[in-house]
Amino acid sequence: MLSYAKIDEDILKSMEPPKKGWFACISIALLALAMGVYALYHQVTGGLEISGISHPIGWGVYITNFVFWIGIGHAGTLISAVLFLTRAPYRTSIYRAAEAMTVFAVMTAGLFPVIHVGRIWNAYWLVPYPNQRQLWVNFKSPLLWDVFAVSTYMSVSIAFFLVGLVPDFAVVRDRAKGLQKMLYGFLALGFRGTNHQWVHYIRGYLLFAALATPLVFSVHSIVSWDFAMSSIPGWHTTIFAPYFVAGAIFSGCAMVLTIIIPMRKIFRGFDEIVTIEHLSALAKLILFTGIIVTYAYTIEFFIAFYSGSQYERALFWFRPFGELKYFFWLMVLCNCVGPLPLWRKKIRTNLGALFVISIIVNIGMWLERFNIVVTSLAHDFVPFVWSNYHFEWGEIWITIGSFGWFFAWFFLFVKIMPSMAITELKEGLTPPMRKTKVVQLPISGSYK
Amino acid sequence: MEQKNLKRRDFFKIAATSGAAVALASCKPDAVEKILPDIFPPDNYRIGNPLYFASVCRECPMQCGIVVKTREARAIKIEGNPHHPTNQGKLCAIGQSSLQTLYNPSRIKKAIIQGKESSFSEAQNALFTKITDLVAQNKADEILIFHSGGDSTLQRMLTRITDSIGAEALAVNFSSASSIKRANNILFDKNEVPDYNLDKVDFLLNFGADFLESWLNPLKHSREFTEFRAYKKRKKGEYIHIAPHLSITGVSADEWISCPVKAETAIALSLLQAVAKKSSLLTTSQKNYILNYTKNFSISSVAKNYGIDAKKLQQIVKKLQAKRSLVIGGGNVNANGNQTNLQVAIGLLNYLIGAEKNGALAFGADYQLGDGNFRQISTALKKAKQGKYQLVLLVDINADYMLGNASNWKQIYKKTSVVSLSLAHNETTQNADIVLPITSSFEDWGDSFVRKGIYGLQQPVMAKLPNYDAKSTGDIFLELGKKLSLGAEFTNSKTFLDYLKTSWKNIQSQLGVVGSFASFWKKSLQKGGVFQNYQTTPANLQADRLGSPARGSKTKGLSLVALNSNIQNSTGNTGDKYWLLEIPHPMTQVVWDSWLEIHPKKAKELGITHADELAVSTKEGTVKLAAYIYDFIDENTVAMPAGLGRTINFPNYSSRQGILAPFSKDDRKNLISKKIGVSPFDLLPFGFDEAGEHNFFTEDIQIKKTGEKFFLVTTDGQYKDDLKALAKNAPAGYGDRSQKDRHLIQSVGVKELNSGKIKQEGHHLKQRHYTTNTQNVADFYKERKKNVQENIFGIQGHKTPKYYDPYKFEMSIDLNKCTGCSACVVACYAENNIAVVGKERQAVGREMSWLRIERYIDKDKKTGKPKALLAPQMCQQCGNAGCEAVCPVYATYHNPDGLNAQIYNRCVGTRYCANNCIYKQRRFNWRTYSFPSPLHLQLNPDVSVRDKGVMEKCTFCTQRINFAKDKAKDENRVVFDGEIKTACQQTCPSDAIVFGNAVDKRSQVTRSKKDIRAYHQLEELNFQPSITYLRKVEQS
Repeated sequence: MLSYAKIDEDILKSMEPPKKGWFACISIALLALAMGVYALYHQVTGGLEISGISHPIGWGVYITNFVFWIGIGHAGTLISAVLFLTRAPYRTSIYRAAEAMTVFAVMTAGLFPVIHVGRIWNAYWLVPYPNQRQLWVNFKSPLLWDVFAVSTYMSVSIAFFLVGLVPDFAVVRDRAKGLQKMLYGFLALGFRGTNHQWVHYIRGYLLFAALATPLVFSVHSIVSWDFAMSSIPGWHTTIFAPYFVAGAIFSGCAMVLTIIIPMRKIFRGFDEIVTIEHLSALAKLILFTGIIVTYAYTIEFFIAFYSGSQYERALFWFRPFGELKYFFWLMVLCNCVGPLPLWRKKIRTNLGALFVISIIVNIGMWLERFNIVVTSLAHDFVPFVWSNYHFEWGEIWITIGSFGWFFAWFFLFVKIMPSMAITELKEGLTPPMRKTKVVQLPISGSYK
Repeated sequence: MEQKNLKRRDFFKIAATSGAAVALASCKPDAVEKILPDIFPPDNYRIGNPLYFASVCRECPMQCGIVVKTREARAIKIEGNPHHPTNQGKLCAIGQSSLQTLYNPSRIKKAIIQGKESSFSEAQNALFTKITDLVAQNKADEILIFHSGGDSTLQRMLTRITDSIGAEALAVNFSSASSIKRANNILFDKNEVPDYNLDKVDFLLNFGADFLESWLNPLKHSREFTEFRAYKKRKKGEYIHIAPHLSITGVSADEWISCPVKAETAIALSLLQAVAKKSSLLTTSQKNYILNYTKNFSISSVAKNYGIDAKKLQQIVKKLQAKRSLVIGGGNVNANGNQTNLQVAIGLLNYLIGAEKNGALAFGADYQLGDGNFRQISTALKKAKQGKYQLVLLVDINADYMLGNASNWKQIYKKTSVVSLSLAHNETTQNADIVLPITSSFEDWGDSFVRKGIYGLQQPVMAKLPNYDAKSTGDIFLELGKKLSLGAEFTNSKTFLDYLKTSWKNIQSQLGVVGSFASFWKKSLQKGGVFQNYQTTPANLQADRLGSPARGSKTKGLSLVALNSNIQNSTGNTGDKYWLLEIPHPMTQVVWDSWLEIHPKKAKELGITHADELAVSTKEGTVKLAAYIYDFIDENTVAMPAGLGRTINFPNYSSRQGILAPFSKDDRKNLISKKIGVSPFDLLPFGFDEAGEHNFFTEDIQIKKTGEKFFLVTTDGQYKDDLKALAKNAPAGYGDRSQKDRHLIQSVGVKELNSGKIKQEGHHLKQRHYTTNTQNVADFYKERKKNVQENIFGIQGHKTPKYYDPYKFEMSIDLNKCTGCSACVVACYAENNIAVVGKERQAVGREMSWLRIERYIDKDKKTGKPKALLAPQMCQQCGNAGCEAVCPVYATYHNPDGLNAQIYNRCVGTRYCANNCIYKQRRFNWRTYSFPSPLHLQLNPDVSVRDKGVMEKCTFCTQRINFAKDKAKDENRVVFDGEIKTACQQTCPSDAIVFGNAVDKRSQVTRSKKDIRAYHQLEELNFQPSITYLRKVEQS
């Protein structure tokens, strides 16, 4: 039975000084990161030839990774803001971890546009800044929209994340000593839990949630326009924005499951907070968005046929039957067939099955982006230059490095921040000395 | 003076003097190079202005006139000399790349004696002592000299030396003119190659001569061929090709009659018989001689023997008699030992159809071709094997490569000392006892008399390359002449230049040019020589010399032929040039390799699929080659390229694929030695025909699959899976390389053209009406607009940003003229400092070519036979471009002249522009490519050398545009039509490319745009390309 004290204890227990297991985990993550940094060093000094990108496939694994990580970064804000506004009951227990995931995923995603450019040292030119040479950026370019969309999304999600943490930092501060107390006190912004503070805090949080919600839809729409605004068959289509957003939610929720399930296993006490019902609600979301994604795949093929354009038809023939067909069919298997078992409640409530399916969906969504980016470029208007993709070591190492980067941050987060929303979870409980739950407007909406 | 009292001024004095002393001490005399390594710097020279020198190209026996562009006294570009009658301002791919002979990274820096480096004078003395000793011992006949032949003052001097001491001198070259000379000698008592004028015919019958690529006079023939094949007076000249193999010359024919090797001779003789029977030109005795000669060849028997449609041959006979016709033939594809008979038949056919009367053929030019006599060479080599020579002197002859393994050449090293005069390290210099480095034709004087009336003058365009201890061939032989005290003409000349001037004084008096020699010399230097017409001399048939009836023969088993092309030459001087190796062979699109062309049916029969590794064996040896499934070859013939198999040094750009790759040794900066492709001389026997012409043929060869796939790199990707290219369409794994209904290269029939209405091909959306406004892009930023108006457009004299005034540069490409010869591609590489990336990098799609020849193989709509389509493709400078809109930093933008400008400095390298380019014309620098020394001296200073991470593409030679615009501005006018010539346009031998200002209503490009044949590629996508293509005209 959860109580205020138990919630505090369970969650703060995760912040105890790390043991061997944690060090092992973060070492692996840092090793992976080092691989990525090493490859990047080669790439910066030697040029992009250690990646498989070529003529005519100008974008490959890096852009795939970018879209993939942005997609992952979607779920956090969706859960913390949209589900907050819609008062979804399963939000409270998972949103903190999901938000952290968002922040780190966007941090990872933000690296890739920089990594993929030919001259990293000049990447800051994409930012409009006053300069005496009167050079300006091209606001017509979807890449520039990307710069704004991603940086806005990143700043808002970091702010939203930290604002949500304020009362929890106060809890940690109250238990900490010495330097820690000072640092957490700084992060808690002097939060004392007075009525006055709560009133402002709740208002502020609501406002943030309202601000963040459109970003959930805008950022991935804009990322999709990188492709949709171009002229290449397979990219140039109006379906892309909703299709990408659905895909992002799909992969984001899967990533939340991939992270939450082991956490729940590792930190005892978390299983009481994150119940099977919460996870199965996420599974339903995956199922739903999975169906949208499947629909989008289908409609793409239909439109290619219906358009009568030989370029579109050729491309959509190429995807399932061309040289890169294995990527396509694996994607279909992962994204369209993979989530189908979730229709059954038995599987939805089985942790192992959920974990496996979440991994499958993650792989599938990476492949989806790879398919969109690479196959379209490999097979466009001029048959003379049609080509195939050759993976090279650099991009693989950098991809591994990006996972290292992401998880290193996540492991740090687990140890220095409360990975569940302490105050909001408490709101969900019946206050001590009372018989009914609070009905008035809480931070995270009412339970049932 | 105590240290602490050192004053500031004193310190500077000491620092300056000691610094200078250190600097002086560290300088070696030959490392110092003048800032302007000119020989005679002009008085008014200003840095940054190009200087042009007329000279002679030395890459092939045709020795075309060239104009060398120099900047800061280094040759950076070659163009054709417009005054020269042979090439008239044009240049072929091989000629364009002769800069890489000059700047060959393998050039020899120091003389070599017995494998050890030594000073030049020491090595030269060693050679001279040897020669003088032999002369003194009266053993001068034990000296054998191999040279490349031709006629020039140097050659005459060499002959003078060898004649006076009695040494043996032989020309080694593979020109296929020997048999023509021999045949004409038999028929007309004229030991010469006639001048074929293709522009004076309506019907051309060709037995395999690749006259657009390497046969005799490709630039002249290309020019005439364009004229002959143009659509005019509602007609187009007809061209039938009879040969076992098609190259780009063959695929431009209206009809190809495929025949086995050696059958061409039989067919020609049968046609001759038929024509002779009906001819009224002959006397009865002549007729009898001819009919006797062709006794064994009636059309019906030949048709039956070789499986050829007799009706077609009869039609040809009719056409030959009815129209202004010409018959030609020759080249490597016919070099099978039977070529003299073929040339006799051709000579007679031309005589009988009155080709000479029509002006299609003329005698009297006396081309200096075909002086390589392999019968003599064979005899000499046999003697050498017996040890009859003490010294073999090679004058710029790569004998180890050219004479191959089958001849006795390589045994010569055991018994004879071999001295090689060579520009660059090659197969021979590895083995020669003494190697003397010589200078290139860009660094020394010379001349060339390729036919009567052409006196080409070659001058040094720059000082010798620093650190290369080389001497000109002329000076070496001059000194030899002095040493041997051969007379006043040697002793009176201080240098070869004096000798040359003496020779040109004689030319002046011969030609009867009045005036001082100085002015004659100066004029000749300026024009690149003296050019006159020659006197034609009519031919009289001497049929009695025909002799006994010609006999035909059939080949046994599979025949192998080794072929020249526009980028490959059997002498091997093309096999070590980066550019020629880098650009794809236009028909096969193979780069950096040899291959074996094989007919799909034969391949199926042998179980071979495309790119299989084959072990090809002949009596001479076995080599490994890639199979290339080729539609345009006879079933029982296989073909390989000649001139490859050279060992060259190239930067190590090899792929670093694989998970452990980062830990492999990184030697990216070093050159590594590599053998590129396979030499045909490893497979071919050392054979020659009765005229002494080298054979490029062997029969009964064995082909075995090794079971491996060959690492064969082609630049075309069309065989990849597609809706329209299912596996079942792919013969023997070659795949479907058609356009897949994209209508990129379009054609139109003569009848359709005559009707005045052309059926539009392409997507139905083409009919849709589009409007786009590209004129007002600056409106987007209102406050900036003012700035732009004041600062930028104010200078132009406009108040608002104005596009396309007074220029909108556009281009048109006439596909009816383009032959696919790829000269434009090399010119583009040379002009624009395009990096060469090598085979491994090309394999993963990283070639840097801004201009490519796209080759598709479509099915002919009527006959269903495969048909090759070739078209040059470069950036289309779209009016509504995809690249411009998506660049986040304006690195590419639309400039007021209508170009998609590319600012390398601003480029961040997102590659979005390349993705969004529907023509896929943008190239990205995946790494920093190197230009191994001294190739870096060739770089054009007007064009940036791009570093890693930057996008690049064709900009219509924007440096040339700016040069002309600046000049026009100085002279207060607009640029004339034709004043700007892009590099590709300038060199195009068939004038297919037209460039100009589309705003000017009278410009050539505007007229081309209005042509009925005009179309744009992928028009329905509304990118509004600036390149107008003109449809190819088909004979129907």
